[in-house]
This record gives sequence, C-alpha cells and structure tokens, in this order.
Amino acid sequence: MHNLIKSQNYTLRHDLLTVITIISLFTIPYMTVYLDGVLEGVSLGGITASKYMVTVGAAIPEIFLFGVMIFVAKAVGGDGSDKTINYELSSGHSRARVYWSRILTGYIWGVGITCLAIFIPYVVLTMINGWGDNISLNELMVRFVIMIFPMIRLTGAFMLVTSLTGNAGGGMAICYGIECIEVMLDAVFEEMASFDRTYIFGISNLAKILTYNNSWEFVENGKTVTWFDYATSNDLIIKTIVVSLFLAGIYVTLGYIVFKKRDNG
Amino acid sequence: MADKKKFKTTFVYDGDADIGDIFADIFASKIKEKSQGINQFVPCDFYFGKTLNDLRNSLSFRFIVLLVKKKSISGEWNMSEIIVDVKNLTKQYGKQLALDNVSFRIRKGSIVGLIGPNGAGKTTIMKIMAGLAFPTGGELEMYGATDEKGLNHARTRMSFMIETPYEKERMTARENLEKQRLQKGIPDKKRIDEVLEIVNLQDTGKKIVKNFSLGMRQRLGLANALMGKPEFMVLDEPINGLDPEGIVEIRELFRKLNKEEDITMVISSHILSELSLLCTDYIFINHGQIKGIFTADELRAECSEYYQIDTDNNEKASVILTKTMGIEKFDVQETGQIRIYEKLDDIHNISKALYEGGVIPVEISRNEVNLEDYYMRKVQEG
Repeated sequence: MHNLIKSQNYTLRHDLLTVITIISLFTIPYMTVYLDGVLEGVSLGGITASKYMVTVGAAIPEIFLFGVMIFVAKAVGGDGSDKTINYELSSGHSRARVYWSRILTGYIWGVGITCLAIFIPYVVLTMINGWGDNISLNELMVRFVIMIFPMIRLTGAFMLVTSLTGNAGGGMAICYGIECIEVMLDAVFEEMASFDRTYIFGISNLAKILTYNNSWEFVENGKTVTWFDYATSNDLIIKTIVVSLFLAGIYVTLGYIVFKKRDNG
Repeated sequence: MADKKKFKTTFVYDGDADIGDIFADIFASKIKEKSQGINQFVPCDFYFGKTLNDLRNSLSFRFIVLLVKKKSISGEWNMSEIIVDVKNLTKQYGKQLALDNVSFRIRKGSIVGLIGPNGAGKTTIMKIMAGLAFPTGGELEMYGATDEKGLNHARTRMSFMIETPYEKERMTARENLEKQRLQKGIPDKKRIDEVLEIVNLQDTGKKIVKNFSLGMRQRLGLANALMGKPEFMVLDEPINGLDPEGIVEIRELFRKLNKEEDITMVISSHILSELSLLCTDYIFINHGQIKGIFTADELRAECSEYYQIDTDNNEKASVILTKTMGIEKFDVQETGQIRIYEKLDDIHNISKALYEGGVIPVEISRNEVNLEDYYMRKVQEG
C-alpha cells in the first residue's frame, strides 16, 4: 500500500490543478486579511492572530472546503478519469489496497494539507503581530482539533461521491452541488430553529465549532477590547467526534463495497 | 502412494521454481487441513523439481509434497508449461453476453494471437485476466492460482496494455513511468531509462504525453508494460497507430523479448498479417465464443494451399464438387468464387467433372491461404 500511496502522491504533486489549489489555499487567508484590513481601515500590520480569527477565521474552513473537494477528487478520482488506476489493479495490487490507499491519500491531502493551510496563517500572524487579546489561544486550539473531525466526515462524503462517479471532474461537480444544497438547507433549518441542526450536515457542524455568539467588551489599559466566549462544551466535542467518525466510516465503507465489485473499463 | 483422485488442486513447478511463489500458491490454495504426519496428504497435489529439499527445510508446518518432476495431463499439453488455464469463462453485461463459455490454455513461452472482430470479447478476456472485470461464471487459473489473492500474485508477474494506453496526459513519458515505478515498487530508477530506450522514446524530454502521436503513445504503453520486467505480457492492439517502420521495430522487439527473455505474450490485433509473422498460437473468437484454437504449425497445415475456381455457374459447380467429386472442404466466397482445400493434386479431374457436368470453368488458380483468409473462413463457418 505504501507504494500505491507514493505513486498517488507523486501524481498529485505533478498535477497542475492541485498545485494551483495549494497556492490558492496558502494565499487566500492573507488576501482575506488584507481585504478585511482595507474595509476596516486597518493596515495588514495591525491584525493579530486572534483578531483574524474573530473577523474572518470562521469563514476560512468553509472556503477551504473547495480545496478539500479538489484534492479529494484528484486523489480518489484522478486516476479513474484517465484509467491509470487500471495499472494498479493489473499490477497485482488487491482492490482493497487500491481503494484504501486512495482513501488515505485523500485524507492526507483533503484533511492534512487543508488543515495545515488553515493553521499556518495563525502562526504567521502570531509571529508578526502577536496573538492579540480577542480570544483565548487554548480554547482556539481545542476548536482546531475538533474541527478536524467534521473535515474527516466531509472528506469521507466527498470520497464516496468521487468513488461512485469514478472520475475527478464528475466527483468535483457533484460534491459542489451537494455542498450548495447543504448550505441552502442549513439556512432553511436555521430559520425554522425548532431543532438542533448541528450534526445534520458536516458543514453545519464545522460552522458551529468555529462560530462564537457571545462577546463582551471591556476596557483594559484604556483600550476597549472585545472578548469572545470561546468555551467549548463537552457535549459538542463528544457528539462531533462520534457523529463525524461514524459517518465517515460509513461513507468510506460504502465506497469500498461499490469499488470492490465494480468492473473497471 | 496415496490415491490421486482425492487431490483437489494441482501445482506443478519446474526445478528452478521460486520458493516464494510456491508458498504464495500454497497459501492461495486455502489449505485449512493440516496433515498429522509426513505420510498423509492434504487435499492438494504439489509437483516439484529440485526445490523439494529447500521446501522441506523451510516449512514451519507439515504437509506432503509429492515428488514428481512433470506430469502430462493430456498428450499435447504439458501442465508445467500451462500458465493460463481458462475454463468455461462467461461474462455478462446486463443482458448482453460478452463471453460465452470460453476455454483455452496458454503455454509458457508462447506468443498467442487473440483474433476476432470488434465486440468479439477479446478485450473482455484481457480485462478479466488483468483483474479489471469480474467473470460472471467459469474459472480463470493463472500460474496455478484461481482465487483472488493468488491471481493478484500471478499478476505481479504479468503486465497488461489494454485498449488505448492509459497515461497522464499532462505528464512527460518519464514522469508517467516514474509513477509506474513507484506503484510497482521498483527500486532502480535506471529502469525508466532502459525501457525508454527499448521503445525508442529516450529523446522525448519534457514533451508531455498530450502532444504525443498515437504511435508514441503506443510505445509509452509498451514501456509501461515492460517496467516491471514481466514474464507474461497481455497486449491489446499494441501496433495500432505505429508507422510501418515502427511496426517492424516493435515486432522485432516482441520476438526478442520472447526468445531472449522467455516472455509469454497474448496479443490482439486487427493486423492479422502482422500476427501471422509473430504468433506461435492463435485463438479465434467471435460473438463471445471460441471459434478455433491453433498452433502456428496446425494453422500452417490447415491453411496450406487451395484452388480458387470461378465458373459460369458456381452454384451448380458446388453441387458437382460435393456429389461427383466427394469434396467437402470447400467454400464459396462472397464474390461467388469457390475455394477448394482438398484433392489439390486432382485438379484435372475436378475441372473435367465440372465440364462434364455442364459447368465451364473460367478461372482456376492455385493460391495459399493466409491467416486472414483462414480467420474469415472460420468466422463465416460460425
């Protein structure tokens, strides 16, 4: 399986769209900070990591889902589009190895690279302007760790869709369509507000983790500071982990069941 | 000696069989029953050459190995030479029957021409061998293995180029081969240069595959197939798109690989004249059914020569040939001409009989049947 993952990583590293996506993922946060600074009349040098988090940070993972979609589509469906996956199957690798190696590659790129791209701006801004005083660093770290689980769930869903379509383009298109519908339904459910919609969609779970409703303003050393309540409930942590892993497990297993029995043409 | 009838599986190995392969086959055969002593047999039949002692020393559990060097199952086929044994293979796509009880064997060291029109089932056979498609029925045995694990192990000794060579369009030839090298776990990077040189693509540099000609793509497909130093290559239309010079070059390459490296090949091609210059065995297939299996020698004997006769009444001539001359091996071409494959030394009496029967021969010529003619004849026979 190690050889398969190496080969798949090699392909992804040499894929133009993947390279463009990586560049975009690593530049979008800075663009966002810059644009936000322009709108608020704050220079780039004045934005701390915690300020970045409370202003635009919550939207970033959602934007990054496009990156996840592209990585997953390329990792899982890229070799299906041009049928180079057939070389893996005819080289004596079992179907299980071919499939699960793709899932691992999908997770390495979909979750690994994306989370890295999300995390790095905080490190960079902390190094340049310091952490700031809008939220607690510890709390944010907890949120970041939990955030990985809905990402695993969403990546699993994308991988299932791409696996069913068998090609990268189709996978990307359908995943995008599904996400649009999810966002729309999430908004509808929010209006209804009669039940907890947190765990219905991966994207709503992700939004819940990175959204903060309560804030207080206080004066410290003659300066008004907005402090956001970033406490995370145990209920949210546990349910997020359980639901995410359970659904991700179902998605990738379903994908395997289909892949194992399907003729590759 | 135990009663051979109770054996369920037969493994036959040459004297230089690799111990790793033998073990893989043993495990692949799903032996669940362990013998209690050295003189009892598990329901498998192993035939070894010189490796028996090595095997005995290496075994961590006991089972019996029957020491017989080679066993000939039929008069014509030595089982130690059979590397692919297809039995009653059936494949159905929805309501369409792509393969209908197909059976054939492939000998080690042979070059098998798989011949049939589009949609005959050639590619389906290759896909099943490659593990890309699953048979609906029947059995596929490769290198003695019939189960999935064993077949996958067998595939590590094989390579496939099915349909259009699959390549990453935006990668160079070298990058495509690097991907294959990584996937196959080939440690030596020099292998890429070797295969590029073999297929004459060493000078493609940074040119991406998208800008390759069809012939160059075919060559790259072959390079891919050669990467893992296979013992057995399955090639679907490998000379498709090659220029005449390229065809000769690739033909010589196949010959060289077959002779010098003992690589067995299955080649499907529409260019039958090319196959006839290369193949040692032929399998004719049409509508998912095997129409004939021949060695090159058998084919030569079958093809030999024929008389082509054109008369003023070919219908009546056919009746005379059958009833008066007792000739059965003849056929009527689409053009109306009659080809006679027997009694070739009796052409005087044939023409005399035709004349006396009121039929005037307007053209008689002696020709030789080539593979293409023979194939057409077999296909027309249905």
